[in-house]
Amino acid sequence: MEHVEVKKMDMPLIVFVIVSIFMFINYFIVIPGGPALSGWLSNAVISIGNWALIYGFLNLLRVHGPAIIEMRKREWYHSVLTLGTAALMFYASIPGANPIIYTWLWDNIWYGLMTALMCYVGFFNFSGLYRTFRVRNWDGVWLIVACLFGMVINAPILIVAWKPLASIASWIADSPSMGAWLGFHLVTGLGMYGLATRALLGLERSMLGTSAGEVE
Amino acid sequence: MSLFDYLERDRRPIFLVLLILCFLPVLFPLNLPVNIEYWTSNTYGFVESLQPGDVVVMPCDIGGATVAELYPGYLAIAKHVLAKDLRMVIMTFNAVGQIMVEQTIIDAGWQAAVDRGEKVYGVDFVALPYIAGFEAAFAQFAQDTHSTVNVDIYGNKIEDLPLMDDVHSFRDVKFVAFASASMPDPHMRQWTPYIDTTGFCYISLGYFFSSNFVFLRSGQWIGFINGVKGAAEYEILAGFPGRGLTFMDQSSVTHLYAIALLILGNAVAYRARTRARSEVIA
Repeated sequence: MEHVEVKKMDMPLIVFVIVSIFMFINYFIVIPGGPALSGWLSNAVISIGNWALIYGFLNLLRVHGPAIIEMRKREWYHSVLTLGTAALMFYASIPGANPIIYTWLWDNIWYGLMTALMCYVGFFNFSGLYRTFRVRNWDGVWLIVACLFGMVINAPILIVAWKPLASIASWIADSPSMGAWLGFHLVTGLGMYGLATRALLGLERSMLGTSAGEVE
Repeated sequence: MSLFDYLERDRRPIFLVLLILCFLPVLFPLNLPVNIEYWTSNTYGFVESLQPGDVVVMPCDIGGATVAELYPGYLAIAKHVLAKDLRMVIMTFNAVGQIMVEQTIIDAGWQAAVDRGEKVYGVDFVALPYIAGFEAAFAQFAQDTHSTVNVDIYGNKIEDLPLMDDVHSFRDVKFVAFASASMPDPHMRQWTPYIDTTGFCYISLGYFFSSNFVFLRSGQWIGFINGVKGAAEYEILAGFPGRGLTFMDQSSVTHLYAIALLILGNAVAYRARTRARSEVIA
């Protein structure tokens, strides 16, 4: 019998296989103790996600820290990013830190910046409608027709002008567009099954840092 | 150089007209009639059919970037839930959502009801903090609420809140109205096992309008709120005129402007192409 050697690199794959099979079965069949175990695993995933955020922050410091300390040119925006993140991380995670400061930073700086950014994007969308959304073939024509009717739904002024527009726009969204979306969903679902099967068989190893058939 | 060529080089006039169009309906309201769509009336009808004391969960994944489009619809439902004497669990799966959770409690009138002594926090409604983990969090919250959150946004223990004694999973919940700027697929992947006991409604961006029919036609949703337009429809149905109806005039004129830009841009490009072709032939 051939001796099977389990390498350290394969451990995440083995964990993935066991957990995936369990979660898959637990989704469809009631197993004694299954909900409790799947709950524990889900909470573990949430916990890992939070630790990944901390790891991401440390990585941010590792990448930008030296440049900030040396005060390299054009690094001021990295400084703002890194120090802003550090301030939020500090006030959010240190027990006993003043929540007023954290809330103020979040509500008045971060939230405001995000809102302003999206408002700015809205203006560029309108500019893009005039300057870049150009019909160059029949596919483009159908796209633009669907787009126009999609916008009609949100503009009562056009429906008031011509009532059948609402029915036509609803039909386009409800039938051809919905069919296309359903196609996307089905293909994505099949793709996910395919990817999961490849991972279960050990063919998909990109998350381990190696590709299929690659020797460590 | 014609105006159209100028607009190709300088986008500022496009921005300026947009800005004017946003403010114009405030000065001169159009008050156009809003047609009610069945996906909105279905949602309204479902909330109307709930009995006083039924539990409604309202995940509020609304950030500053999407507040204009998602919040009016979300707020209209929160007001309707209060008016129907239902119990509400409000929370967020988005790090930016907690501000809007707190704002909803005030704007929808829940805080005022507490001040008047008509509602009691912890008995009639509970506000839970941000739950990290995205899809894993959706699954876990729906499956075992108490293992996912320990405290509410004010730091009270979940065990100390009487309402939470009745909410251990989505099986204890009659209606879930979730507002999110992301696609609803991850939510529904995890929540579909509960559609037998719970009605779902998605408060969505207009961008996802046609994709929403996938879940509506499959019977996974009761209905959906299509951005500001859906909010205006819901406000009419529920009798709470609010931000949705206020934004409708802006929505009309700006969408009209968008359509005009789209057609004009293509007409100008077509004219330039035919002119260039005729010059080559000549």
